[in-house]
Amino acid sequence: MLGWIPFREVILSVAVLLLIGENFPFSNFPMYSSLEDESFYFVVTNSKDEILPYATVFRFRASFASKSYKTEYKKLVKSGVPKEEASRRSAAKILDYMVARAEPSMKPRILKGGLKFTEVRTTVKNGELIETRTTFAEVPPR
Amino acid sequence: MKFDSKIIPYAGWEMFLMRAFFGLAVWMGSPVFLPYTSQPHPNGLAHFIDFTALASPEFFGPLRALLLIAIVFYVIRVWTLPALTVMFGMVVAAGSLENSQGAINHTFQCYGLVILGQWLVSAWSTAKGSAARVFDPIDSLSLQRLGIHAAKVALVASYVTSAITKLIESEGGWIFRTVNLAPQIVKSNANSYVNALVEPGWLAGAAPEFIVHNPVISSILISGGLFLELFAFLALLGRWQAAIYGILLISMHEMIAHVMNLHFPTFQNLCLIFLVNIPFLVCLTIRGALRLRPRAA
Repeated sequence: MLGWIPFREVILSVAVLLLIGENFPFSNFPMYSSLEDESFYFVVTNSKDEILPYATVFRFRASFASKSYKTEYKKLVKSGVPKEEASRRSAAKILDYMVARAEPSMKPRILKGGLKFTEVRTTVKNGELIETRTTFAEVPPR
Repeated sequence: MKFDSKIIPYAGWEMFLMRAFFGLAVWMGSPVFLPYTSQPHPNGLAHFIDFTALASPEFFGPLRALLLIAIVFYVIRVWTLPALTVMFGMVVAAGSLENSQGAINHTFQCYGLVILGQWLVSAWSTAKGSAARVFDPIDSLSLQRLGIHAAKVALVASYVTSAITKLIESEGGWIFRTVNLAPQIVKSNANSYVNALVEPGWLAGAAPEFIVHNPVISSILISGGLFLELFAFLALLGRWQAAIYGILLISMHEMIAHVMNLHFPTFQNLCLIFLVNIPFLVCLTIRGALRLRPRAA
């Protein structure tokens, strides 16, 4: 009956993927789909303002930090937490999680002077890239 | 010639190699250890099933052994349905647990979908088959061809879906927003840098600047990728269309890897295995060379 429709198996598969959305192994593959005019990532710095590498120090990935932050932030805002407070709480939760995962042999040294978890936001404005930095969470020196 | 997808009459050895390479890719890609002891943000089946038992090496070790056995049966196309069931179960369990940590990763969905496509063909054949089919564990050539076709459909459908999502999310304006790719490139390169403090290549800095200062040229160049994804179903037209489209998709991934430091090895593997089909191209080259060889007088 539907034999005249070309590529019908592809059409059906695409419909299923779009309908089910982001539920493993299904996905609507939304990477870079909305193309907002800004992006952000997080850096963890020590008391000397040196960047600590995610992979070797925290056994974590920077992209996971941003994605986890987004998920937590959305969840808090949805539950009625004001946006600024949601930012702080989400960032603090991720920083705590990373510190807990940190390489045991490095932990005392990195915590000694304290840590800062800073958001670096890049925006396109009037044909230029503008960068702003905001520290959302800190671990006090121990 | 009808403008429609075509089930290619692959030779048995070609399909054996495709399955072998795919099995190897699944085995190499499957995690050796899963460190997740909770599912704070359940995704997919994790809404209904607790997969955290996989974090225990005592439990996960034997499961990996079972996966290896299943892959071997899949490759030699004996008892394909149970083999694909095990492979699908393992990929879904590990992927669901990993994606339930609050950060969605788009690495292994394509493997899951390619396995699912082949599983559906196998299940359909078993369901409609006679008792003889149930007791005959070896897949026929036509069934194998259908399985490979299903794998290709799953792969190209992922690309088409990605393109349509871009159009839906941007309300059709994706092409006109490509200048906004500049901050995204900054972010992806910065993420790579802060992971291991390895300086990215010169393109990482040059590409965002080029995009914001040359929005029209950038838009034309970047839109090529969108159209390549949108028309990925053309790879199903035939052998050569598949090979050419596969090479184009791999080139697109390589370009993204250079500019954004974003790597999609699983997608590239699938394009190489099921679309480009290198063994066939090698065979064709050898045959051509032998034909061209001057005959002895």
